[in-house]
Amino acid sequence: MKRMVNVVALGVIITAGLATYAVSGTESGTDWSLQVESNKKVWENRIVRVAKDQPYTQINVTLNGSTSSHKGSYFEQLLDFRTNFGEDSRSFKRALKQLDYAQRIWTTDGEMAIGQKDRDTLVLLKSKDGKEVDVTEFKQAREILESGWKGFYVYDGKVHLLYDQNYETTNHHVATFDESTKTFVTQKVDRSKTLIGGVVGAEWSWYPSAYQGQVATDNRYIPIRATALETLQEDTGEEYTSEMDLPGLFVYDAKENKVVTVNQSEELQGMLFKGQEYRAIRSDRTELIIDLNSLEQTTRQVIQGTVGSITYIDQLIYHVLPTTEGAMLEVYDEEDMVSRASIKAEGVSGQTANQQYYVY
Amino acid sequence: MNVLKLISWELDRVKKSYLILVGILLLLQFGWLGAFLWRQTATYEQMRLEGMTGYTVSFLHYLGSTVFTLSVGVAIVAMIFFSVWIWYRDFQGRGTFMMRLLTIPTGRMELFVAKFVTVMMLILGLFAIQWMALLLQYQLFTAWLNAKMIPLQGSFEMAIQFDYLAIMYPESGFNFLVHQVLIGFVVLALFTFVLVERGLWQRTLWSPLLAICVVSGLLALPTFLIIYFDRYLFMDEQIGLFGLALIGMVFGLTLLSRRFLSKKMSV
Repeated sequence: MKRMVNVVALGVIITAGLATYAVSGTESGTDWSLQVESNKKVWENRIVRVAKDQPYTQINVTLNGSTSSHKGSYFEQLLDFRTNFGEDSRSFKRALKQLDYAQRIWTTDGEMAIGQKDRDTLVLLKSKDGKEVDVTEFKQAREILESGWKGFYVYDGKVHLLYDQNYETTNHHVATFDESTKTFVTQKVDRSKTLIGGVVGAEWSWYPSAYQGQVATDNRYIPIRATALETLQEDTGEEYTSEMDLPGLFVYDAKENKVVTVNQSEELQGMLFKGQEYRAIRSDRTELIIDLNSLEQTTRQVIQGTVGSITYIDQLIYHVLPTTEGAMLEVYDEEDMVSRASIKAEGVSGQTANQQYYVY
Repeated sequence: MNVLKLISWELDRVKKSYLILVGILLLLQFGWLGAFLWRQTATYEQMRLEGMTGYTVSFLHYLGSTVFTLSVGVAIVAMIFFSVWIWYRDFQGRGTFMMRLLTIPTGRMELFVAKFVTVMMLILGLFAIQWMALLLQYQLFTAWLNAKMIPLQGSFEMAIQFDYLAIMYPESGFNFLVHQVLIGFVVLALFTFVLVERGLWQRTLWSPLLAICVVSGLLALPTFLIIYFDRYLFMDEQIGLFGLALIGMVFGLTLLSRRFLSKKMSV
């Protein structure tokens, strides 16, 4: 019996430790609140994420209050995952996950993806509803598989892929896939002295992105990110070239197979595909609308006051403007402001430096 | 009752070395905290004299330092070593002690359970001591910096989310349980290795190698299954498969241990 002291002593230490952990290990954190002045509806499924680099924290603010984004038990995370990925949306993603690498776009005809399977087979996946997946395999596609992919799009009823032949940065080609004959043809692209950095809306990950646009399948002009090669010098005097993103708006002409500059050296924010239109916000508070079939441009006044950061979600414009206390939030539908809100940290002031705000 | 007696006896035997280990760890951490604060103060003073502002100190710098990481590493290695040693020490010496242990009427599996519980208790004990020590270290840390008027960054809650420390500070009771189960699984695997090795050592020179093969073979099969199915499954399905594999492996390891402990180990 005398020896039982050991068990009891260690037991007491463990209990005391657990108590310390229970008291100190739970995070109090800063509470943020989202105050909506008008039209609560547009904030119902939205999350405003407050991110700070130093020290690294992320807080998700919704109408129901704020939570630290890493919070929650494994079990809760599991349940969250299950609510976000229901059984009926899995078929397409499952097919996508099995490819060695793949790109995915979301079109008015449903989801599409192309990717590699084995050494020389290129696979095209199409699904209208996420449940039923059409798989088309293109054999002997080594030429395309061993190239740098820029992105793909649908034009004239066929899937097209832009790529760098043999990973040569300036050697752009386009492949056109014919699903009925399971063959493809390739053609050199006139890149008009700009490099194609990627097709807007083409994603590499199978995981859904909140910002992915729904692209129409009959657009002649395909918005792209343009880059240019720049020669840079290191501190040691060594020179190297690097691909730098160009500001402005560039499109790829799917009919003539060439790159067209729409708008150069202007910073644009946000992006939205709506029907055959492409929209973005310019720094002078106007919305730029481009017809992707005629390349006709129109602008209209949207944001009032200073321009902060802009996101298009559900075809609405979410505008975030950081203030000293937190951030001002505005929602615009076309030209009209439909909601005004703000977020701020409770009890803390002047602590908002180097914080970023994102709306999801 | 018998198991409790055995646990108590095991704890009694390890008491001295455990206290030494705890002593070393605390000495290492608190000693280093002192040195760390001393150095930070000196740097801060120098910066101030040079007219530079904006110097802040964060508890994360202390947690991320080599000495602190080393102390955690020492604790982990010591516990792995002890999981093996708790069996081997009984095989040491002339009239090996194990012979007496195996012939006591309580049954061999109770011996197994007692040793397992002992190891888990010691590990939890280290957790407990670290929980308390870390909080104390943070108090000292803030008190010192406040006294020296050095700007402090971050909070305790933020600091403990740092890297591997998050394992020690799970975000819910459920996560804590999951972590303990995984630790217990490692201990179980080590136990199985020892028992297979000891069960075979009188028969073959290759017993350590054979034991490693048996245990890793048992672990490899489900692991390959998980890796193979990884690309076909989503997160929840993967966790389900992992859970099944874990249950299977625990079952397999326990059965194997039992077989070798009660049938193969001759007295």
